[in-house]
Amino acid sequence: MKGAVSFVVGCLLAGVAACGGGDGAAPGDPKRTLRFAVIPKMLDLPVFDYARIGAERAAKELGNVEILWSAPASADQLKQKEILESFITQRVDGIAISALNGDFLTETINRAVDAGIPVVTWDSDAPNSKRHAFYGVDDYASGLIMAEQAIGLLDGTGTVAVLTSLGATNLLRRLDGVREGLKAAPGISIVEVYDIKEDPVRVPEIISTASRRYPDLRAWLSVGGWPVFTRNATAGVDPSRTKFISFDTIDPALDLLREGRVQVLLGQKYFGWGSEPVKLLHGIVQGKMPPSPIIDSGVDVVTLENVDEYEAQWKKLAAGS
Amino acid sequence: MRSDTSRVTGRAAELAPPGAPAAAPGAKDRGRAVLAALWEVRELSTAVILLLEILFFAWYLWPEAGRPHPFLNFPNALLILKYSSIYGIAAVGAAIVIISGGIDLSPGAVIALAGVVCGALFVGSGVPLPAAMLAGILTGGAAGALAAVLIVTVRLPPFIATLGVMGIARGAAFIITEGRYFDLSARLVGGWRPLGIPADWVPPLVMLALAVVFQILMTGFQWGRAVFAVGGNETAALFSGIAVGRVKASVYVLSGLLAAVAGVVLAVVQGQGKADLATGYELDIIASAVVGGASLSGGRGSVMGAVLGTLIFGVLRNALPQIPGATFYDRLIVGLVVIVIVVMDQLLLKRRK
Amino acid sequence: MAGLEFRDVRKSFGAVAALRGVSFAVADGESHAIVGENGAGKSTLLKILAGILRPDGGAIRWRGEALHLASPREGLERGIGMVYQEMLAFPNLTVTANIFAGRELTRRGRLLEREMRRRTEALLGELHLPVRPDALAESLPAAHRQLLQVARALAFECRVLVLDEPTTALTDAETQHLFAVLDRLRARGVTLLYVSHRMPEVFRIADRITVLRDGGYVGTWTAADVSSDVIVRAMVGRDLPTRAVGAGARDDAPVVLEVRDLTRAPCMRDVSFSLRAGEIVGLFGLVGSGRSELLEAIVGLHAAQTGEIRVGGRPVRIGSVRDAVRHGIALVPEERGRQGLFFNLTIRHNLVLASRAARGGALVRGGAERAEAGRLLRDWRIKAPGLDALPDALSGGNQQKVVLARWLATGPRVLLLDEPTKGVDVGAKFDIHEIIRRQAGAGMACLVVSSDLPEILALARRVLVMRDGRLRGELRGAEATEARVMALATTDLKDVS
Repeated sequence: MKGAVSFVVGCLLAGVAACGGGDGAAPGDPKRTLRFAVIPKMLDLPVFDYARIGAERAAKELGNVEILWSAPASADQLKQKEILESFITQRVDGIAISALNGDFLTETINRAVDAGIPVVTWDSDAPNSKRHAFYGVDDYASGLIMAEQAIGLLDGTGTVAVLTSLGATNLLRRLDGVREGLKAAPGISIVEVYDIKEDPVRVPEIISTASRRYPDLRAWLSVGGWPVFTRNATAGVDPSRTKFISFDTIDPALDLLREGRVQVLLGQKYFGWGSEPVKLLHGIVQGKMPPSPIIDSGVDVVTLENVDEYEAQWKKLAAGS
Repeated sequence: MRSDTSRVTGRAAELAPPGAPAAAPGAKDRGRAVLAALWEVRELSTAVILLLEILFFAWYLWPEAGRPHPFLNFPNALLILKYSSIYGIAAVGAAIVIISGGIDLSPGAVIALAGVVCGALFVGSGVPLPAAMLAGILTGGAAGALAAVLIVTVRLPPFIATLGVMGIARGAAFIITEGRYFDLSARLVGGWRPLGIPADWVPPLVMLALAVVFQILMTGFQWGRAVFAVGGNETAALFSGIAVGRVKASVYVLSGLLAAVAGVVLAVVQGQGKADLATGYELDIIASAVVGGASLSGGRGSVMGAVLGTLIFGVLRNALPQIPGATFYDRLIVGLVVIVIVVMDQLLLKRRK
Repeated sequence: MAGLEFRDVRKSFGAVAALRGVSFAVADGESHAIVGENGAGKSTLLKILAGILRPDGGAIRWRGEALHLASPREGLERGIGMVYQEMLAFPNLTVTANIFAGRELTRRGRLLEREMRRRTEALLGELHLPVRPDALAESLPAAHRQLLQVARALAFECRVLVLDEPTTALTDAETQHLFAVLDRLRARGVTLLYVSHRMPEVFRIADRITVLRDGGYVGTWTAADVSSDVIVRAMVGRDLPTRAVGAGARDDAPVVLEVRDLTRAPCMRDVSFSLRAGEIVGLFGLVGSGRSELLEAIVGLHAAQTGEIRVGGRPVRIGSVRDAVRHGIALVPEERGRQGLFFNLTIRHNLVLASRAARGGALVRGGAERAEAGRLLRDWRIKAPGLDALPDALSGGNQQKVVLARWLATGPRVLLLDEPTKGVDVGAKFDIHEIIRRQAGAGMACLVVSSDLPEILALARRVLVMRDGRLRGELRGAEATEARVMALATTDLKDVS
């Protein structure tokens, strides 16, 4: 038994002692393959699939970039931190991350930057960290836009319910924007804010509970795209009585819009989430700093009026232009 | 999980494979016997598997000329140890429970609860850190004691009892936090440095210390042997004068305490006491114990092996994302590893006659 | 007719030759007994016959045709039914399911439940087994489970019925019952192969007897022409005293154990008796009479009981086995596999565990334990591959000796033994009897529970008889005859003079 102990200790020491060498050639050498880690909030959220496509495409265009796509299986902040940390110790050349909890990851991001690894955040920021840039919507501003759309739809009066997920910072800021924006219409009140916990499956359940409790609900505002990730999440809503405004325009959201189940969609730059940070990282590695620390990707407001145009644009992006 | 009857003594149950040749005591038999003898020392065989895994990834991830090795470097090794320790500390307790013939499904929930309790006291009520940590650990002991009462006195099957404790612990954690979390890092300015040791070193050191201590307890002390006896044949243990009830109670309390240690360490090192942490960890913890030699029917297993098992999975979790597209294979490979190990157990540890 | 013929059957397991060219013949319709010590090769031969093992050489012929069985199922299909020593019943299934397990009657995939039940009822009636087809196997007493095995073998057209020590768990009455069934089978022309350690049974049931020793064939005798001494001598290669004089304890030896009005409803009521130092007392009773429960109660395994136990004259409270050991009482349990041995621990651990558990102490002292275990192996002549082997490497007899040695190592004053030679070969049985006598000679009081009446009478001068949870009587010395003991055990309380 004692032998086993020494064996184990020896094993670990051996593993540790076999340290790879010191720092290698400068990352700026254009012939090297650059390994960029792209870390969404979690796997399996459809929005992020497009980010991946965007990232892979940017990598191909740039030529010498390899994308390492990794994320926790569920919205586990600790696991995301673990993944981030392991990419640091594994000396990748750049990190693009959508932070579940920006404050929680701030210290780790700073360590990455201090170790010489450029970091760009997307979709969900870590504003107090040393990250080189953030690419995404201005959450607060988009919340304001959503509120504005709601006021327009409801003509300034009515009760609304909100769908959000209490874990992520960016969603909180959107919610703040919505609340602030709704102040402009005193006739509109938020009766309840529901927590989806990042799980789209809960939407129908919550909608039916709420409909029973608030039969006169005039609108649903969702600061995340969960209700439009599936066809039947919004089935329990009667469009003639209750309006639906949601973030995200990925499939099947546009169909739902056309069918009238949803009235307004706020689209983000999904492909951009992948391609822009990768390009930014590539630039930083070559010494070109990003134009500004916050790069607002902008939000697309999609309604029945412009849905066809939007879809045409989308198809072009998906095909790779 | 384990019924009370011992196995059939094998006379009528033995099945020779069809066409078994008349074996002269040949090289094949001897080779197999050597392999079986080596395999049987699970501390050794699991360490070998770990070493092979490390070597594989070291080779596969060999960098282009001039770049540092992404996998084989000190900070990365420390990282693997740090994150595996949370599983590893709890796996010590899980292995002991499995050896006793039981099972514990609550470690994940207890990890979260202990961290929450520690955070609640430290952040919420301003209790000094050592006391808050102790309180967290004792909470785990309480959860383990609850499981012990359910299993020994009420005689619930361990699966059900610990399933219940898991729910209660997780629920308690959510009730205390009310959906928010406790930010310990805010109060631990500059990070935690107990006795001057950097925070990142603490989980691995605690894990190794506990592993060594409990390995010795299980092999060199009467209590440990009693655990093996109870797991191997509970009826015979009863007839032999072993206080079976006390032994069983002790392993569940221990498992709770150890999971709580993991939870408290996690909360303080990572700075968060959160109710939804460690969800689903129990399956990985049990898998680690099984890979390390524990048999779910009781009576066999190794604490050191379980810890090595967590390292095997920790290395996997760390190295896979380095391979483009491979990160999705993590769960699959974990499942395969468990199956392969158990199959090897079956083949090499068949009862010799 | 040719019947069953074994021709030069050979089988080795690694370096161990289990069968060395065994050849003999069994006439068709004959009742043939195979006897031998453990390791003689009987089990191996039967397993080859049943299709569980394949021989390394030689052949078996049945009615002139070669018999090459690839699996037990094929054996069943050829009409060879096996009844084993260990209970192979499925405890959680019904009697019907057990009988038809693996060979259920189906039509196009659906189970023919009613047909199976009907056949089961018929079988049970034929065997005079008072069980319902829907009863769960685990609810049956051991004896019925054994007969269930016979029923299972009989459920299909059986031409050769092989029984491997089927009566180990049966009382005399049940054994007679079994033999009646076997007689009827013989009348039907079924060939019987019967393996047993019990000479009276062998002579009762067999036409001819074959003896195996150390994997080799010794000889075949016609039962009517030979005495059991001849057979036993052929088995062991030496003479054995079959009846030893019971150890005489002096009547003024101090009373070591006294039990008064021990009651644990519903298993036993108002049991009172005493044991003196140096005496061997037998306890006889049919299955269900409460013998094992009595022993378990004395040793502290069951809490709820009333009555008094006195050790050395002083009343004691025994709440656990540990208490019992500390007061000097040890129990060698009935089922060594289920209640005695740890198959996941080495022989060394199995030997020292009980005494260590009782004496307390936190550390495991490897050196001292190995020395003690080694000494126990030598003292009790236990044949083991080594201290680090596992118990399943031992024969039944040696396993029993391990359990016995373990309890003797706790230094008891009172030794309770529940069926100490069940499933044990003749040589080991002799050894165990010697051990008991030796301990008694040194002053230990021994209480031996056994279903083997001759064994009890050979060991004990005083026989207690239990029936239905009560002590029905005590017979001493010459008045302890088989007939009287059996009468007490089976009939209503009346004057037995």
